[in-house]
Amino acid sequence: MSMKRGAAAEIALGIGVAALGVFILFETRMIRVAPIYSKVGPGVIPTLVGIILLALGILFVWQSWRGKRTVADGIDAPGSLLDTPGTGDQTADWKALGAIGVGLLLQIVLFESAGFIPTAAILFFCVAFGFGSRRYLRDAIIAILLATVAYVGFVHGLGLPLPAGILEGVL
Amino acid sequence: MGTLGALMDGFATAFTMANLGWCVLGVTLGTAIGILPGIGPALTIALLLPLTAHLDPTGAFIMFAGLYYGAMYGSSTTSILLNTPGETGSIITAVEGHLMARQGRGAAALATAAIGSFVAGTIGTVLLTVLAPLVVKVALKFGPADYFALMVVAFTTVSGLLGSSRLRGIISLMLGVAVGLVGTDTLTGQARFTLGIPNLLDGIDITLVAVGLFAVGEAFYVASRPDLRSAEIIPIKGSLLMTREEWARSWKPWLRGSALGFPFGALPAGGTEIPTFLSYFLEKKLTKRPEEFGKGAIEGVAGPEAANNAAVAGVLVPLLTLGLPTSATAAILLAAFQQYGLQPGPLLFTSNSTLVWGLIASLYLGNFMLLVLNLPLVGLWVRLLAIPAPLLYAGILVFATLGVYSLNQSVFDLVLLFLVGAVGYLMRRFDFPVAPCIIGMILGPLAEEQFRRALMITQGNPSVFVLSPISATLLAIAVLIIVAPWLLKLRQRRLASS
Repeated sequence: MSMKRGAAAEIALGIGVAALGVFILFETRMIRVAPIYSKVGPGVIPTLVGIILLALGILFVWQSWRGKRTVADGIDAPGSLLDTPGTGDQTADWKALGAIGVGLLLQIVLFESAGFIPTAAILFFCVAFGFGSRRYLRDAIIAILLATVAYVGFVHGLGLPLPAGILEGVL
Repeated sequence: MGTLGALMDGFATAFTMANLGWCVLGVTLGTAIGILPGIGPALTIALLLPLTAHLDPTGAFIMFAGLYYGAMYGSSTTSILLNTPGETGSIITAVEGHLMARQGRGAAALATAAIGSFVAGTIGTVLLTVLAPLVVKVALKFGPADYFALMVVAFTTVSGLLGSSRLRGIISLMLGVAVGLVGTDTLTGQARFTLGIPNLLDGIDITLVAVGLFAVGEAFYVASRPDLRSAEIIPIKGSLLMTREEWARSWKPWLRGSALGFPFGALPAGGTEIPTFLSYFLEKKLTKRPEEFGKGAIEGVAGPEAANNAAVAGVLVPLLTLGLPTSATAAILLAAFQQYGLQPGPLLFTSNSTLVWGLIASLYLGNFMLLVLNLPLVGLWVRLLAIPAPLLYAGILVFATLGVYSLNQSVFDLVLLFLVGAVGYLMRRFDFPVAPCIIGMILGPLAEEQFRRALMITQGNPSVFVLSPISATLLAIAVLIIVAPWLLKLRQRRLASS
């Protein structure tokens, strides 16, 4: 069987899992343990978790390498009646992912300087765009309305602080 | 005090104006999120946690439980009319239910789903009422070693039974356990895996991870698959009053579905999906009209819909009596208990009996309210399906980031949310189940604590895990769960070759 489209990505994922295991083992050695706790100290379980993740990662790489379908191990068989999503070999709509990612990243960067309302509205607009909506005016109006209502409700209704940003003193 | 007396006191708690209000709010919200694809009970409760921190815990839990029940009612509506399950527990309902709707029998499908949910939810709640005090009696004898062994059983079943492959389930579970390690070690005060970042000293909030996986990761995933977006809503046709024949064909599947659903929820076997699949195949086997399966058989809706509601009642048994979550929503509920400084387990029934019994009593009321909400009023709910997906997911993400920021008023949490969302996308895309990750994250630290406490008592002698009969039995079960599928496979291979 020739290597499937998804196999390379799966191998990369398995390597990632194994790498996480190695990282945990490495970091665990950095934990300083007081002698009285030496037997069952804070490092025991992390070491175990690290070893297990390393082993699982290697096993996953090996299974993907052999091209064995790691999916559908019996119990999920009924799911195949339907479109059970996610097997790695489908194509992704990168434009959609990008739009949502940009919305989230802009929010992180601008949250404290620009404030909640503008960043939440931008996020709303980006996600709607990512999901294929092209009714820009409608989306923008709903975005601003929703962000404003959420802000007023949280800050004045529930007393949970949110950054006002550029609208400082307005709302 | 007997169980009945305690339940009566519970009804007295549940029937106060405030708690009735929380119950109505919970079931209404639950129905709404059940109907809306892309938002489920685990995500909703996680987002509500920062808001409910200052509420009375009894009211909050009455609302949460109503929400969990309600989500199971509401999700069947989406499955039937839209062919997209509102929640994973209704995946199988979409098969026969949607076919019924296409044939103009949508109303009958909705009716058998709602009444079946009511029947199963009530049976499940009765079983919860009767069984919980019994489990508490057993659980009082548990020591730290026994709790640890119990959690090991939960780990093996959760990872093995949720999702499509055991390896993927275990990887997801261990990822959760690894994330749960981050922060200050409770027993020694030692910082672990904080990478020198002060924000990580308190650990990573489970709300953040749940929102990241269920809201952000899910939004990334659905957006990346345009083929999942378009769906056509079928208007409700037919009478909501079922005919005599439909009743005759429904009541047995309801009872069988309840019988399957409750134990699967109660045992640490995980979730509401598996019993619905089993129920579907059982009904397909037992039906007198096998030719109708695949064309819209009412039994295929009645059984699974009963099973998922009974499973929810079942999930509450180990959660309340042992502090053991068996589904993602239960894991979030456990986090909610911890937020109030409460530890679910046998002692909860004596130290917070008002809360526990008020909660159980409110489930009976909630079930009745849900029947009313979902049967005569179903036409109103269907309008929710008219919300375009772009606006729905955009709204979910705005509230997701808002909720996560409110946890600590920290932008750092938004960065973490983005990262967890990216991981969640990869998990969804490569078919890793996310529920084990959430369960591992909350169960990991608890298991570690019990493990180390058990060893501290014996000064590091690990024989305690084998010498305690409860622990030894549980560990043997765990080994069996891991080994049995391989043994079965070996046997099949041998039979095939001979």
